[in-house]
Amino acid sequence: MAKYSAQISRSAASTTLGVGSVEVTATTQRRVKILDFVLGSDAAPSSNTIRWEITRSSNAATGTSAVMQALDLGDNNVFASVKSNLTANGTLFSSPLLTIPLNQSATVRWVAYPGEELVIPATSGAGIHWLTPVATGTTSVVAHVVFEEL
Amino acid sequence: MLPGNGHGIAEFTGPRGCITLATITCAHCNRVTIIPLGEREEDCSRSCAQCSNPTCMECADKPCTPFESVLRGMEQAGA
Repeated sequence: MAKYSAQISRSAASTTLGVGSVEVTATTQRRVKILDFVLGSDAAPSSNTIRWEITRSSNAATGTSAVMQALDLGDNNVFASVKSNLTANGTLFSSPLLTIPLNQSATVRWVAYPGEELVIPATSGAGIHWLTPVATGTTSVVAHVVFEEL
Repeated sequence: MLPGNGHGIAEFTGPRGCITLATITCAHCNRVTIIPLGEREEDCSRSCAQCSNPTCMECADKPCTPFESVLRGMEQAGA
């Protein structure tokens, strides 16, 4: 039940390619629970619209591997994978788990109530993507994700 | 509808301040519903008559399919 955090980002928001993803890897398949995330932009404040969507995916995305930091330093054997700045999305489910329209000047933090986390099944490649399907102005976007590996 | 009391929270911070809203995670499909300020939980979600857990409006009045069984189905199907 180790908890980890990771940062995913994209220097210019894309309406098609994801900001990042958390995925179950093929080697050791364990369920992953998304506990908490912060979404926003690290660009200079400006009034642009960003629609964030958190969407389930059934196979692995392609992107830069993100550093995962164990919240308890004794937990150093993570099996999940976090990818940032995706160059290819996984196969996305048709409807998102959560949609958040957000001004570029704002940030949002979502925290799950215990037992109400977003859960990724213990299946190779299954994951959750953070996407920006609407982004007026190609601003940089960033998210910080906390997850628990079961 | 106060956040934190049995619900998740979505905290929005902007140039004009901060607002914290309650969220509900559907016990059937795992989707998250943000309850707008001034709205009641029952306006934005339902309680399953069988498992008594909160569901989104889309899953309301559908047969009870706990998300745990959906997860197991995904794991058995390998997707």
